[in-house]
Amino acid sequence: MHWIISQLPGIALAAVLVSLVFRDVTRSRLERFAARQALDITVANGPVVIGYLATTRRWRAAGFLAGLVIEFGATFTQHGRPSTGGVGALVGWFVGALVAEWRMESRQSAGVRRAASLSARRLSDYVPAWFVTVNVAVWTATIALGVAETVILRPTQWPAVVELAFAAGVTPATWLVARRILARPQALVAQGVLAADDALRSRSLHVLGGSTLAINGFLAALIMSASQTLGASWLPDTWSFGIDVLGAFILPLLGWLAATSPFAARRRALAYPSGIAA
Amino acid sequence: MILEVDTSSPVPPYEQIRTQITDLAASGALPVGIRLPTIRQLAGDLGLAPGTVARAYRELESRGVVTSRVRHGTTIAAQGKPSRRDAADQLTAAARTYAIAVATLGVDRNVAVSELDRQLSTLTPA
Repeated sequence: MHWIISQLPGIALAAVLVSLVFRDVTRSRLERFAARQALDITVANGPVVIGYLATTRRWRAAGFLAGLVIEFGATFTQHGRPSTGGVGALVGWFVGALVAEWRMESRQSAGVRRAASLSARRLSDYVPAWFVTVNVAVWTATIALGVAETVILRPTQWPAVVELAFAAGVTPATWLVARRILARPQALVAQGVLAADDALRSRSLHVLGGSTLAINGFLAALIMSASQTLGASWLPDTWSFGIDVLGAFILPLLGWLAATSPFAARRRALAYPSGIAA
Repeated sequence: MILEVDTSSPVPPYEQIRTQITDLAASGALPVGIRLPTIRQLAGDLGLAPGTVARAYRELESRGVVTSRVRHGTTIAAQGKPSRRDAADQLTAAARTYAIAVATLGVDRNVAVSELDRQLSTLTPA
């Protein structure tokens, strides 16, 4: 019975998320999105943005819940009682976010006369350059940490292999989905809809990049704590503590700040060509 | 910069893409070094098969209009003056495309020639 009481906050959060999955997109959420992306919501682009917000939330919340349930199941099987450290929910949320972006469809040129912009869509048009650099640096550091720990402790223990394997897959998976987001077809439609399309891509890339940063940070902290738990710490205590704080708090916070920070997509405005169906 | 493709035109889509990019590069509207969209992006945006855009890019590269490099993508190349032989080949290819369009549309030969003349006069300084 005690474990139920100790898990009440998690259960309450799960219940809130279940309700979120089925909730409509509120006006304040739409306004928050518009403010972050410096986007004017119009009659034409409003439904596009609302559809995006509803789809992404549904998948992310569903992923969060699935992760939570899987973690509960795994801990129950292992220890005879369910518990959560939050990793399952975070990973589930992340997988849900990836699936949502992968499934997202956009408008393609159709009809007899078709038009497209000749400007290449690049990552730097949608997210700040530092964001990409920090993500790659944190990923590299996490992998290096995992490899070092595995090599140093290998003769006796394999404490961080699962975390290392997972870290190795997170950023490449994000990169693949980011490429898909950039390549998603973009029809030349009315200026407001085009701006919304760019805003959606930008927000998607911010969210994926932010969550990747948070997960890599978490994994780095887990890798460190794995050896500490075994009493086989191979780094000075101050270093271990520093990595723990950075990975478990600072990087997730930075990821969240980046995911929610305002950023107007920098793509040039395109003239609406004559004779092309909107 | 916008590229338009008419799928009902007798001129194949890859040729339309090639011609427009060549014109935009020659006029300086697409400056040297500017990066073109990836094949996947352009094909997706136009609702065409990637092979169609890939063919257009290949032909542009073979004519020296663009260069393709790994990690740099496809960029507009510096336009040197083509050799006499290359110029003749390119003229033949362009004339053939025009002739096919004229024949398919069933346009009178004199009208086609006068249209070509009119187009030339818009480019040649008086």
